Amino acid sequence: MGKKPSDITNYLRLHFNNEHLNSISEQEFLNCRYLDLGYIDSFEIIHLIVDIERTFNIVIDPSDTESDKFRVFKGLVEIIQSKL
Amino acid sequence: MSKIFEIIATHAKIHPNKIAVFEYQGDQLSYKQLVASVKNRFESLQHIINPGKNRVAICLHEGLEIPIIILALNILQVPIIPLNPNLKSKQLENLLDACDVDVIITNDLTHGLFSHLYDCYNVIDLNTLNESPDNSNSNSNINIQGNYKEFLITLSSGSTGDPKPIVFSEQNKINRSQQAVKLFNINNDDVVLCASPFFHSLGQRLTLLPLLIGGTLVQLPNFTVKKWVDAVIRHKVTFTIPVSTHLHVLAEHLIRFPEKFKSLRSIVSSSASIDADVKLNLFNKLNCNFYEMYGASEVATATVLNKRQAIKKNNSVGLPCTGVKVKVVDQDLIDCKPMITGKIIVKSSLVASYYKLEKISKKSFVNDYFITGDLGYLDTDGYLYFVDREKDLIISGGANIYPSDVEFHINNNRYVDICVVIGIKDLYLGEVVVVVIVSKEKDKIMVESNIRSVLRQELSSNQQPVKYFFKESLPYTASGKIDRKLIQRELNSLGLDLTKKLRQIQKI
Repeated sequence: MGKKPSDITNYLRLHFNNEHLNSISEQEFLNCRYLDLGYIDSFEIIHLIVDIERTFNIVIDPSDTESDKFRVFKGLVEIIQSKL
Repeated sequence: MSKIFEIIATHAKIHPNKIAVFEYQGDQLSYKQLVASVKNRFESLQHIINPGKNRVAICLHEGLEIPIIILALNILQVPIIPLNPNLKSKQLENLLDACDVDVIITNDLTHGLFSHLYDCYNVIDLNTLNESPDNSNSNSNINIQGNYKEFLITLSSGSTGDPKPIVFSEQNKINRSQQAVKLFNINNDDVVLCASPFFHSLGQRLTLLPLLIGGTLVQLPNFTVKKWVDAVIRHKVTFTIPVSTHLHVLAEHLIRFPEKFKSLRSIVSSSASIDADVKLNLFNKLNCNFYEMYGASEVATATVLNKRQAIKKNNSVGLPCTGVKVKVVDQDLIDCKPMITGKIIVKSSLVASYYKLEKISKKSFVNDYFITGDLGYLDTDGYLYFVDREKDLIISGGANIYPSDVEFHINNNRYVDICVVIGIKDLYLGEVVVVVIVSKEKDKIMVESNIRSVLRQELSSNQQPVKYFFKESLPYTASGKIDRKLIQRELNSLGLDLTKKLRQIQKI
């Protein structure tokens, strides 16, 4: 997995594999508040964090998960990128 | 005279030189030798054991001594409680207490298991017991009269983990053998392989069945694939009932090398439902009859699926046997409609009772139906489908998760040898799903990624394991089942908090 934001965005699109999220523009995707809009349930949140940590070999900290950034794709991309 | 010994003594009169028991290491006993050995043991024991009064635990390693001592104690008409000789001291004391045992017979005092029990129990070491002179023509009284109701007591752990002693009368064991004879067309030409220990009800069934019908028993202690294959070939085994974990590792061998197993006439799968693909392969590719049966120690065989039925109902465990009624009920014990999963309950003419456990008996039976602790459903044709053990059920975030649903997909992965899916305690979700995998591949990161990506396609999010553990092997119980409780205890003791990050996100 590369370090470019677009690579991370593609990874997230693939992970979510949601028809609507796949159909919207990159900008719309990045601004999507995926947690608040219910694109992901409690179990999927756990799987997402585990998968991000394994895929990018990083650790998601409490400061990350408690931040508002984590709830938006754009913020999530930034969190991942900052740890690479 | 005791019924079971009488039947076997009759076989000895009809065909005295026929082999009754082969032991894996090479020892053997003809029917004549077996009866003589039993009478000899009876002679030695009758001065030590009080017929009709003592309750006798046997802690013996598998071997020819097992049928000899069982039949000698049968003549003495004392209840026999077969116990695992590898128990820990506290477990042993717990079981002895539950069955009111006062005599222990063993052939292994070397590991000190009994050293602290001499004060409370009469511990008999078979190695030091005086042999009686040859008494094959002895006229000693073997016609003991008494009120003989308890032949064998088997200990089923039950869902609470407390011992549940199940009492079998002689007639019950004879009737159960007759049930097997009818179900699987067994006769006195059959050579029956027993790879289960005698303290397990399957081991008792496979030991008594051939001897009661005048067939031949082959004993196989300490199962391995190689030993099993050797035993089948060497003794021309015709019939056996492997536990499903044994069958799982034997399946590939049975299918790939059918020429080795020409003697086998029937194999019956028992103890737990086997993987659908493995089952389909066995039904389609084995050169002999293959059956899957479902049952419990308390009610014997409840349902059987044969090759012909498996063509249309491969995922089923079959139709109820003669004299058996099977129902699926909900939490309020109301009958479920077809295809709806609920508790499996069984009414059988072969039912056995619990020893001194009126409360547990009341909880375990409803209107003469035994509550099996299993979950399943019936289809519109009356075929039963086993879904899972109720106690193995994982409840995560309020949802019921059946380990077998998850294990099916993981076990089908080409990098996986075997896996077990369990729930570990979690403050937030109640339980979370984790998997322990024995992998064929060294690159565990790749294996985990591969499985995770498959499970994302195949399973709902709450069914997917949150944490993956890799081990060299899985622990098994003495009866050959994966020891889920032990794995669960070990993982729970790690104190993992697998939902911490989720709670942070959800601000809980």
